[in-house]
Amino acid sequence: MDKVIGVLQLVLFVAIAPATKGFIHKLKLNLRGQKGPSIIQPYKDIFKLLKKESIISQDASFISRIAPIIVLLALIVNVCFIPVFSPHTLLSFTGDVIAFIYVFGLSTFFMALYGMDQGSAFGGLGSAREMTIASLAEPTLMMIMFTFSLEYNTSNISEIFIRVHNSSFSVPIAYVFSLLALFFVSMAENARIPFDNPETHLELTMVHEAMILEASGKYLAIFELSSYIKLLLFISIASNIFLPFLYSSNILLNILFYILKVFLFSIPISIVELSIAKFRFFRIPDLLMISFTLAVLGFVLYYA
Amino acid sequence: MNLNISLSEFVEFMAALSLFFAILQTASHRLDFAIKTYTFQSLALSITMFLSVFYYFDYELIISAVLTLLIKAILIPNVMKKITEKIVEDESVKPFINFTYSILICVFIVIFSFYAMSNTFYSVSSSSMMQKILAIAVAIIFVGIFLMFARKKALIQVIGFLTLENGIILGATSTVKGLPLIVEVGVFFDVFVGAIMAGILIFHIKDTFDSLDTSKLSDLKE
Repeated sequence: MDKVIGVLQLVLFVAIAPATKGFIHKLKLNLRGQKGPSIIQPYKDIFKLLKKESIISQDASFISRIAPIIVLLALIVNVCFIPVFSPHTLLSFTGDVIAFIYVFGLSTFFMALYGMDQGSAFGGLGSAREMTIASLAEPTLMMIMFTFSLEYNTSNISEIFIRVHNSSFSVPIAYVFSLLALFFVSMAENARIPFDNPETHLELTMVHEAMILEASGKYLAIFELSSYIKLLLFISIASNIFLPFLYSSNILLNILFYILKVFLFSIPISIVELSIAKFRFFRIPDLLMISFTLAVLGFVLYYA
Repeated sequence: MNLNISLSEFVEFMAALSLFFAILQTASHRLDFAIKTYTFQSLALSITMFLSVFYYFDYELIISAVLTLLIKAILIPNVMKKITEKIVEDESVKPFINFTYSILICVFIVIFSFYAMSNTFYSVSSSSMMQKILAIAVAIIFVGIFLMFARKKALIQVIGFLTLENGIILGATSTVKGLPLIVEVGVFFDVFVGAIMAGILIFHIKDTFDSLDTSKLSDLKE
């Protein structure tokens, strides 16, 4: 039964990942006064790309063939770690917050390798920027995770999930700081607006798009799907840790609550993307340091 | 899970928000952004003081909260904004220590002040909230001092001084439940006059040296 729920969570997660991206995009365009593509557009994109031929550069090595799959697999493993609507995940016996962060690191690493492997000028540039951002964002993510694992005396993600939902202690209000820090980090890791604009291919500023510029066909489809999954991973962590109120023993109701929470947590992303412009690249360390400060503040306020 | 936020936690949160805005000042590249963050910082401080009224049941604190709001969150930022509009042609703050390092140093300041306050105050205080707010106040004071020597522009040094002042007020609120009213009014008056004096001084610096950069004060002129 636990395994069934685990598989169900994985399937649900992957199934609604493109819809989340579609929702954010649609909401952003609607707030701007445009009509925007429908929410199911990302699914259509993926199916369209899967049908197309994929071309790999002559200079590319075997890395170009395996990197997209490793990126996707690493993220799928992460999905298996985190509880979506129930603590029974596929890898709950071994899911550890530190492992979680380093599996993220693995996917980022192979993404960067892919960017450099193609021999295009933009790929290396994108990889360099991506690694800069990722290495600066990682300590903050660690700090946030440590806050929770110290709070609940465990580093197992499922255990944290269970204790968050069952314990009836007062909500430490400085979790707001951790949430803000997590928000900054997720914007950085997912190449969203203050750090990178996912909608343009402007060669001076692109980060994530520069790495997958050479990808086509099914490889591009895999990359797109993994970026959707990555975004939803962060949203799920935020919604499950910081909004654990909507929870019942009925599984169907939980699924409904989960989808509701995901859409609720997507709203700030589109509002932020709408209201501020992309930052200059050399301002990004400042922004990430501010998020680190927030994480430290949240941490210190509860263990001092 | 019950949503059970106590008043003291909310007071702590507002104080911590004030600290965060103080740290954000060290990250600001432009003077107008620094003034804006100072406004928010003072606003958070006045909310902290206002909420402490319900914690300590000391109604004199209402007056100081209102005074903080009026003078520090409205009057002083407006004066500063006028000065910036009048005399500042380039808005960058010109750091001695660059922004990323500044934020990191502020993180260390926060950790240090929480560590330093964790033992000293414990025996005196009955509540842990006071202890945390005192630590936050000390951190704000240090961040203000840091801002004063890490930036070249005179105007942001004044903001650093005002931040330090905010920290002292917060410390006074947390430790001795606010100063006597007459002292507090005196302090507010002092800060306000101090800000205006600093404004006049900045005008003079600008007149004499053609720049607000304090590192040029020692340059010789004929």
